[in-house]
Amino acid sequence: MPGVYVHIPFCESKCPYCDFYSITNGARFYNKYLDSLFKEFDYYLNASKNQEPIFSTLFIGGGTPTVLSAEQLYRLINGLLSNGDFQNNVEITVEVNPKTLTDEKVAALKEAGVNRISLGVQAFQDRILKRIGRLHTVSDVFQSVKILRKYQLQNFSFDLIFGLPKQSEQDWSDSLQQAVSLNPTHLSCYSLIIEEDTPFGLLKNQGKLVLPDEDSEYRMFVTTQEYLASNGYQHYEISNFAKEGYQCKHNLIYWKNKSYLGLGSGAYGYWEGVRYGNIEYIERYIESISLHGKPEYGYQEKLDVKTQMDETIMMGLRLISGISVAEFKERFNRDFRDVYRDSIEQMQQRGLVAFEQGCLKLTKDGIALGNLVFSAFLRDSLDK
Amino acid sequence: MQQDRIRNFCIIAHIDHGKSTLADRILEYTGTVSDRDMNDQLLDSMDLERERGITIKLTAVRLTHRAKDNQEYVLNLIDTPGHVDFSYEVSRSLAACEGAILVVDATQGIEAQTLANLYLALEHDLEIIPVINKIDLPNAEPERVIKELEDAIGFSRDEVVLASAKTGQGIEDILDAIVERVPAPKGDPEAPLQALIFDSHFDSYQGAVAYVRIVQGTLKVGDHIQMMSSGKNFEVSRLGVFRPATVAVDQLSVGEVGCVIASMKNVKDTRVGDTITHTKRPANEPLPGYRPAKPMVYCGLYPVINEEYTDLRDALEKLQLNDAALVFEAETSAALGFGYRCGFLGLLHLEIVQERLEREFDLNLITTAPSVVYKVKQTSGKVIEIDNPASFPPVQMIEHIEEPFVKATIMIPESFVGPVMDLCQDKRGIFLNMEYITTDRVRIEYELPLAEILMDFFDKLKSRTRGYASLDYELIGYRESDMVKLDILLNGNPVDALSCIVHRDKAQGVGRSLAEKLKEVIPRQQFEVPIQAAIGNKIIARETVRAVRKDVLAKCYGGDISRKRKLLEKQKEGKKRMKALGNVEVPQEAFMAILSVD
Repeated sequence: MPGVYVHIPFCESKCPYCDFYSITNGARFYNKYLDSLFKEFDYYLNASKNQEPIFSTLFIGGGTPTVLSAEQLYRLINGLLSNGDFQNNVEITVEVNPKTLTDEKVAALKEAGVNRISLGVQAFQDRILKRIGRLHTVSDVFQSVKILRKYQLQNFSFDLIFGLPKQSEQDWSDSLQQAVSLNPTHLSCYSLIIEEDTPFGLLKNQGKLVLPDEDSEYRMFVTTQEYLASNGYQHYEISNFAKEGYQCKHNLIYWKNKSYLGLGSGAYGYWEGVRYGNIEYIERYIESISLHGKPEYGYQEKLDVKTQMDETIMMGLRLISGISVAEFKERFNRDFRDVYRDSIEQMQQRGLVAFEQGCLKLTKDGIALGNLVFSAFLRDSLDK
Repeated sequence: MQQDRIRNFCIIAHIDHGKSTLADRILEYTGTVSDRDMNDQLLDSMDLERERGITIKLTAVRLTHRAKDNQEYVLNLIDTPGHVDFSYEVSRSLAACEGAILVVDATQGIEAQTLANLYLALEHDLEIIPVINKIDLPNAEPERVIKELEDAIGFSRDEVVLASAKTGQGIEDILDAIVERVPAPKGDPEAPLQALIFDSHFDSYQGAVAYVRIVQGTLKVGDHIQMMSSGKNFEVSRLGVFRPATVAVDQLSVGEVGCVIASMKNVKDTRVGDTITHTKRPANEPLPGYRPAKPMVYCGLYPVINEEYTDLRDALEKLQLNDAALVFEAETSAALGFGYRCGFLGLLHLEIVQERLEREFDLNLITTAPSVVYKVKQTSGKVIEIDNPASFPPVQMIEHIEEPFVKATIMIPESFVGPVMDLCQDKRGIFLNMEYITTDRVRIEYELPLAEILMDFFDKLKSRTRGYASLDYELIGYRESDMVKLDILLNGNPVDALSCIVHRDKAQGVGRSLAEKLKEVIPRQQFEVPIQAAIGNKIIARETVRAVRKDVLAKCYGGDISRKRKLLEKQKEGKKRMKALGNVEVPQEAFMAILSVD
């Protein structure tokens, strides 16, 4: 069943590594923006010709959703839930910044039905947090967790980043240890990717960014896997770890390459075979919704079957359990062992993929060298 | 056409001294081209020529000028290529003229190439008109340059014309000087035909077109002609003159310059330097100086994708239609598969061909390092010529090796003498002599192995002299040298396409830096890749490309998906440009790494 992603493109300040769309000082748009989101959601509900879709997940991300007031947060989530048809046990996640979290906001989230929190922790060293432009401190993190527990929101996940400028392997181990001590149900551990059009991207081009070398980053990755496994977290996606039963359902939709709606300025969606991205200017987004009752797209691409298959493999291989031959066959009516025979053989020979219980999955080496594997599965348009 | 009203001349100059601009100005002044049709630097018609600011194919143009005697004269301007690779072509176009304008930059002075071409012109008994160009520039020093011309070449001050191709100043003086000083062509219109081919090009509709200067006799449309070097016969279907577009004429008589079209299928039928005569009443002997183009440099050209092998052959054949100096034959490399061994006049020629293959024919190529032709005397007494390091016989079968040497002439400001002599010594040069042209400009002559010049000699020379040096060289023959074959092993396997021939004294150093260089250009792979340099069985250097440890997109959500897919597709595209040698992926640059080794 499909999910809904809602983008809140507002932040208190921009982080120098982030390339998601957001603006600062956007408070004057908040209410209008929420109204537009409801209208956009309606547009899709009405446009779905057959029957109204039933959604299984709702994910509020950003940006920084918690720059909104408690009241606005409640209005947002409640509004979406009462408009669309959501499953009874819908997973509702909100991304939360430790700096902007208050009792009042958590109470509002809880009241609105939120049952999962993703906390942008990133690191457990104030000097590192400062260097990467985060406004919060380590004590804000502890404070946030305290509030979440107070309101019975124990299902929370931490985002952590390794490979940060001047981060030592010891720093990273310490972060993992502290994170685990707070007993989250889920951990996302990303390696820092320097994107071209960010301040960090510019610094890197000028040779002014001191990053851990590849070997060190590799060791941090290995440490992550080992340490979290020994503490009861299952590695279920390249960068994601969860306690039994706490995998993120919403993100699984992405990795299984299923449909989801993306709402809001700069949001991306995959709906009825079309991948789209909404326009990134908040004012134009709002204007377009109010004038035409539908969003203006900055990007739209109808995916042909070949691309759908390739993306399904590329995303599916990110899951540690791999891609099921049966599921693929059910969806595309093709056996992917035929479609990708050469690629599979090549990658098997190099020890990067293996078959296990009817699934093709990355090996331990394959996980670290995922890009090599993914690109091997992208076919030229001339192939087959 | 009255023979005494014809003047045939060319312009000789160093690169950048303004030859093309001067030619443009002359065309404009004589009304040959209107301002409106003026495409900057008209004589350089190939895109590549304009981009690089050099003339590769020479052409000719016919001008009319009313001189001071109020008579109208026909002036044929024959363009010459400005690069040492094409010195034979230069000599043929000089042979088609009676006079030459020597252009010297008022801010630079005389350069090695100017002198080399000047001496060539003097050998052909041309009347020289020295022109100092760019006198409009604030840093122009015409007085200093006049002094150079007086001291170094022996011109008198009154002979020198001051000009600015940019402003048009002095153009009329140049034209008048041509009429007054350059002699009219000699020869007898009734004599048996001798027409000198000084250039040719291939036209897809008309076939090979020969550019000729009639030295004796008269050539008419419908005449049956014979190429004196090959004995091949053709019938003239069209004759033309250049104004600058080709204008058809019925005949070309003695002293005239024009083009001949005669259903010739290939530029090989119109060899530069050859003589055209009549089939029925042939000349007794050809004009002197014909010499088939002989490649000086060879390299292997291989398609990255083996399937493009036939496309590469087709492309080479097409280029050869227009380039008689390009030779190629099929060869196989254990590492690279099927490809072609190609011969070129020099490095620039090589680069031009390579660039045209990639640009005009959209081929993805691997070029192996250029090699000169070695003469290998075997223990059996037999001498073989080898242009590919991979095909060197085993050491025990070699008695000795000879390599081509050149005489290099270098001109530099006096202050750079030290660094330049160091460089030449370092490149195994043998000092010949040094001479002051003026008080602060020096000409140095060295004998150098051609192979050393092919490497990065010119770049090094330029950087050590802050761009002030100029270089010219000519082949002087073969010398015995103590050369050895340096092999490269990747992952323990020898890669024939990376082998090179180096002097024994330098082998150690070259091996080390080549291995280092390869380590830089070969990307990290899934496995460690040892790089070894070896002479015979002896490993002289070793480096390791370390294994890639981690390469995976951290975050891949929502909208990222298609973007990330495109990112990965790009990564895959990059891989396609690499050649897989065993399980090692090697980029194109690796095969040229030897050129940037110290």
